[in-house]
Amino acid sequence: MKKLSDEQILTDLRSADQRTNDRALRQLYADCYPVIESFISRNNGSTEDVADVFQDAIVIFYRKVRVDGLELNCTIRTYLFSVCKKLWLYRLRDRKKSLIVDQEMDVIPIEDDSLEIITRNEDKALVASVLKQLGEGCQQILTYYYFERLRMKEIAPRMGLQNEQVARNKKSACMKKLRALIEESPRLKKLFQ
Amino acid sequence: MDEQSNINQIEAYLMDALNEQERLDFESRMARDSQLAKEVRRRKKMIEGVEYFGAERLKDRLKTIHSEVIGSDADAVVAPPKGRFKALYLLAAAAVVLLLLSLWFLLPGKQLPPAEIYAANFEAYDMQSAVRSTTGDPLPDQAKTQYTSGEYETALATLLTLLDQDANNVTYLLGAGNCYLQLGQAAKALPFFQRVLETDDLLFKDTARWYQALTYLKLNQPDAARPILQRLAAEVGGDFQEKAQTVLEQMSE
Repeated sequence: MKKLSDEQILTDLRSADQRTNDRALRQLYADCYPVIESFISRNNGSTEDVADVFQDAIVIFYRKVRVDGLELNCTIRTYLFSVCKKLWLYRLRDRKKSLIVDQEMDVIPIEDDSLEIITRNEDKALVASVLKQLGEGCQQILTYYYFERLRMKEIAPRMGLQNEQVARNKKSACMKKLRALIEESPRLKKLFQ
Repeated sequence: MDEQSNINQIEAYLMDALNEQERLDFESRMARDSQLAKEVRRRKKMIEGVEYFGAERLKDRLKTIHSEVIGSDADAVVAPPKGRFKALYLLAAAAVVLLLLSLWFLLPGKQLPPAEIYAANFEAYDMQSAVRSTTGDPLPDQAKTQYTSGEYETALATLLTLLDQDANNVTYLLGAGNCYLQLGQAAKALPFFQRVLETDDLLFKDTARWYQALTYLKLNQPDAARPILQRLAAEVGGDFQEKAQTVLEQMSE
């Protein structure tokens, strides 16, 4: 696999093509996972902890790049390490433990807002569970639009839809279905009052 | 303002698509109109829920990438203890297996283990019609003969030689991946299917995805197999749509 530059990784992650995104994601795993593994495992973390934290950090990074147009003043490795360190410090705090060995690596400040996308709360989990009741087509289009932030003209060919207007109509119909399901459930309806 | 335009504006606000002036105007409207403010809060929760769902889906994709790049814990072999603890270890292991088997038969609505779903759905890739030597080189025909007669070890060696000469040949890649599956080395099959997905050959991508999903089942990683199968099942008229649907049903039974 040809090594991608940081700039190319950012371009690949912004692409509407999943294969191109995955190429960048694979490189991030190959390049950055070992250093995170070393840091977390030397600080009371298990193999599962490393995998979870790294996965969360990638989700945060992916969204930052795609939605907030993240522009870095440091390497991607430093950014990911900084996110992982923050996430791991929070987990250690929850477990009433503290850092044993610090890693000799630069870190940049990561704001708590950045972690929002991976934060689970009851409302989000309930909506996600209702979304699972919709067909795969609806799950796909809503994910493409709201999570991946693809444009309708990018979604239409990806889903085999005639044009962007058809995609737009389908997305609206799916949101209506989602809302109807939410309103059918007394518990959800209450949450949405 | 009609209902759809209202929704569009709410979404544009929530997704930061308004310019500064539009945003201020919208916020001032919200301050005056409690119904609008309520609708914005509802829509925000819906979008956050979809984003959370999207993040979970991305995590499924990342699990697949993790096992491709880093490897899987399931592949790791745990060395049993030596000496006098060995008998105790074996006894404990047998007890756990027996307990799990009893639970399996006693519990209602039991789910088929991934390896069984794999066994029920796996059919070796058909190299018969795909491999044809056009250069007079005997190796492609040799690989085909070895593969179709079940000599997977020798077929694999021949296919690896062919791949040295033609690294992106999808038939050789699929054949080599299948040889590893047949030889019980499923983890080694995955990179070959992945390489097919990285070629420009659109025709064989779904075939590669299908075998990739089956390989994950064989490796007892149903969470990695599921998004691939969902993708195949969503392809209307796709070669693997029905098969993928069947496997997904078996996984959820």
